[in-house]
Amino acid sequence: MDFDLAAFGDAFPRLLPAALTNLTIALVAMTLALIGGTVLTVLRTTGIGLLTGAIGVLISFIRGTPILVQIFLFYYGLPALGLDLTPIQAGVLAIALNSSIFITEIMRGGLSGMDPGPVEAAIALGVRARTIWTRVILPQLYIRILPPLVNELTTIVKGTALLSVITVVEVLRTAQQIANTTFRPLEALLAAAIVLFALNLAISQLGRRIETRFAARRG
Amino acid sequence: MTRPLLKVSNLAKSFGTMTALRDISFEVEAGEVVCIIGPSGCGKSTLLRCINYLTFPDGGFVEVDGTHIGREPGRDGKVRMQSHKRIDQLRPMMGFVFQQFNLWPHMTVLENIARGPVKVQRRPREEVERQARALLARFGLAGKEDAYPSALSGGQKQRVAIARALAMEPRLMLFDEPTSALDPEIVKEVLLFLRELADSGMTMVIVTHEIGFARHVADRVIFLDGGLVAEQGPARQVLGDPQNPRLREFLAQIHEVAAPADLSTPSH
Repeated sequence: MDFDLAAFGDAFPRLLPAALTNLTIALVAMTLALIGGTVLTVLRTTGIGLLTGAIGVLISFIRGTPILVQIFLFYYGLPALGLDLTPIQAGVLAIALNSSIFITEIMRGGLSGMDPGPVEAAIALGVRARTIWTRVILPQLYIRILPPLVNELTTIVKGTALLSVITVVEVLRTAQQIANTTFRPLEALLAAAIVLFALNLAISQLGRRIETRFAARRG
Repeated sequence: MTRPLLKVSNLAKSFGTMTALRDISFEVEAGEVVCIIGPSGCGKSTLLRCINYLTFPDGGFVEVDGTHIGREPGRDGKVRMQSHKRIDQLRPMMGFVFQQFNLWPHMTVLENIARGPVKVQRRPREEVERQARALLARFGLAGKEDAYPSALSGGQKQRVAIARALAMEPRLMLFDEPTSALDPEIVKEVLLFLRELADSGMTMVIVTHEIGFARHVADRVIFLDGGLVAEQGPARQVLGDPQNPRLREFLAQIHEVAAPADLSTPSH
């Protein structure tokens, strides 16, 4: 097999700075997705028909269309609506929305299996509904859903590579640029895969650590 | 005439077509220990949950020391429902202890006890923590402050749950089958503990299957059947000389199943 080890090694010095772009996009998107997913989850428990109906439609639309299409829709659609966004901003929003939907689904699953007892105990002590959400339900819920949540966060990192299609110069696009000049696509793409894999490995290791740390606090 | 600490009048609750409480009225004086007994499905737990509005009753009234909670008769004779905020404010007058303990698994033992007074009653944390540590010491749980509930035995969890309720300095305590989820050898430990609490003068309403405990600790026993108070009176009278045939049948069945826990050492 014709594999140029030198070309493979040479790709990294250019890919690593590009990985910072992926990491930044991923961290911002994760934060937004966690907030979005949590807000959607709380809104869905209000029992307001119109609201839960609208959220239901949004969920089935996001789950039923490819994320690549959603990224294009944000990239071309939001400027058309008068929102002047850079490709990175549009991409972050697309990934964050997509991930919010999956996170709220994970959270709903976690909620349905949760013991209502601790919530009742808080009600009996006169704790207000808002505080019950922030101090009793959500902390327990996050601990509970940590494994699928970490999985979703790694999906976000993988999703950042898709932003190459809307001109964001991140790891994948940088690899393509390298390939265009060296004519060695395999080496550059393999290096890109390793860089993204390393990011996700770090995230899942971190997730495992947090999981161990909070094991005693699971209900 | 002294005002009863807890007054329940004509309480009613249905779940769909199933009537859990038909028409329940009783009073509890300050310092009194009242046990509520009855066959499963008779509405015991529903009654207790309706008293502090964990379950909203359909009819009737609950008064704690003269203050209505939840449903309230207006001057015009119409019944008004208080706001959730008002009900939340009134609930801490009654401590509630659950069958399943319901501790907050993500908080340490000390936090479980201190959170309510700090968050709900806005008392200074330092004072609350001192009180929480004192409660833990009194309950034989010194040194467990920083443990998480998952590291405790059932009996320890229930004692923490009782401490959590007491930290709010309630006027009375409601216990919903506090020993039903415990291993048999731990039941006695918790019952002795409840007895000590009763001896300290706490007003207590206890839903229980432990007839032996009711006999030795309760001042009064209420027998519920079919969503009604079928018989009530001093513990010795109700349990020793039952008049209601359903109560006789119930007591006979219970005695067949298990000998009552031996709590007879010092007389109450």
